[in-house]
Amino acid sequence: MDNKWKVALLTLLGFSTAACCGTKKASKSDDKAQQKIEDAVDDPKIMLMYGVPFPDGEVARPIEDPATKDTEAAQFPDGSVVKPLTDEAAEQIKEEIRKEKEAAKEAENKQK
Amino acid sequence: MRKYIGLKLFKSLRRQVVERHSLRTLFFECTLRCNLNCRHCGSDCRTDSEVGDMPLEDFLNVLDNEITPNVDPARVLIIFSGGEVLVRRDLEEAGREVMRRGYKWGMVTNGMALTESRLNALIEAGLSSVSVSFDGFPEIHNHIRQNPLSYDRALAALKLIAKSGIAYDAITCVTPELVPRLEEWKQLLIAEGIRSWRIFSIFPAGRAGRDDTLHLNEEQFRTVMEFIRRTRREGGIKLNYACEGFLGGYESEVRDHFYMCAAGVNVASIRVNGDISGCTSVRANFTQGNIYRDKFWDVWQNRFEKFRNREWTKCDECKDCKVWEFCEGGGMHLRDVNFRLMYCHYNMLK
Repeated sequence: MDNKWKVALLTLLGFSTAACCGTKKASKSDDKAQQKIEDAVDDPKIMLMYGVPFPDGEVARPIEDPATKDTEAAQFPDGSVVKPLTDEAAEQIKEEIRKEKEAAKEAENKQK
Repeated sequence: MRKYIGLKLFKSLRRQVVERHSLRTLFFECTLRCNLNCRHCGSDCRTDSEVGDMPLEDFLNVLDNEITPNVDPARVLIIFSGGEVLVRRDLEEAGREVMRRGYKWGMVTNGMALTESRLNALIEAGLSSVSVSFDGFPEIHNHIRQNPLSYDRALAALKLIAKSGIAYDAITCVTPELVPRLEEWKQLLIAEGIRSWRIFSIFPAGRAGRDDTLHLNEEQFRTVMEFIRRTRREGGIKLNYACEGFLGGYESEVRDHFYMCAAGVNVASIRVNGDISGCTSVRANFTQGNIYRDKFWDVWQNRFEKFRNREWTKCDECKDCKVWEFCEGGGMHLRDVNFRLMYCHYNMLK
């Protein structure tokens, strides 16, 4: 039996997420859902014990939370402290990323 | 009957997944240093690990020369694991480099060192998924983690991450103390705005193997399964049991998928010392090679026999087991240094 039929049959039996989460949302007109069916056939997404959830198109947004801003963080049992990145260092990283993005955009424009 | 057909169909799909063994998840155990000293640590991590962190350039070298030419980076998830990943000061750089190559990446953390500015920097560096260990009420979590600040830090981290919009979940390692309070714990998570949750139970490895008070008995384990099934039906929070073992009648009801141990099938790991294996929780006797000695892709393509053909597990209690065809001897992490099964989830539920 063709793999896609097996996935379809699993879905019909009510195991819509058995081979890959999201197959129940599939429709011919939905490219993303179609891709999910193909992924399910290719490789089921197993939630690993020490793994992380598979990203599924979530959109990250910057956060602002005064409660946790600039707090000291990890303390080792021996009393030493692992300090989080300072805001200056974070800004520097952001600046580097911005420059990289600009450079990539420029390169893309040149290619065009 | 319906479930039996489902299991049979999945078994057939799984066989082909094994044959293809397309790499889909790569763990990078970037450090064994940790800012906590948890009682149930499977890695036996320490503040100052005897093994140094793997230099980022060594990992990137394998990525560039061995992996990227052979995979579609968009279909491979890289997971930074430890130890505690946030103790690495170059985590943002590592993430950026991985993102630049087209991979998505995530991390597992205890949340102790996560602040708003650090999370923003990590998201800018491409972080797309996070799991935070969160083991129960303050007295339980702080006792297990052996740090009075750990509960507050983990909760703060989870709230920040939930706000950020990236994929995430809270991971609860259920201990006997928490079992009667699971319902209450669930209500707390929901009230705190946490929408994705994963439960697993202790398996006998690392420090956890030496502490019997952390292990669930059969009745407690069944209670946990019943709780997960009920919670999933209610739908107030997305809850999964981890991939640990075959669960008999609970299959497909406590997880989004049927049981499958993907270690060495589509999951590989590069350990902190360069060892190449399946999941990071699998014991050292299953190591298949080392990046400082072998070509990763050669190892991935041509070794991993024990991971991909599990006929060898058909011995001892598994020899005549009627569900072996679905279970294939349980998770590889449940095998000891002599390759013997230490813990059978199916037997716990009989």
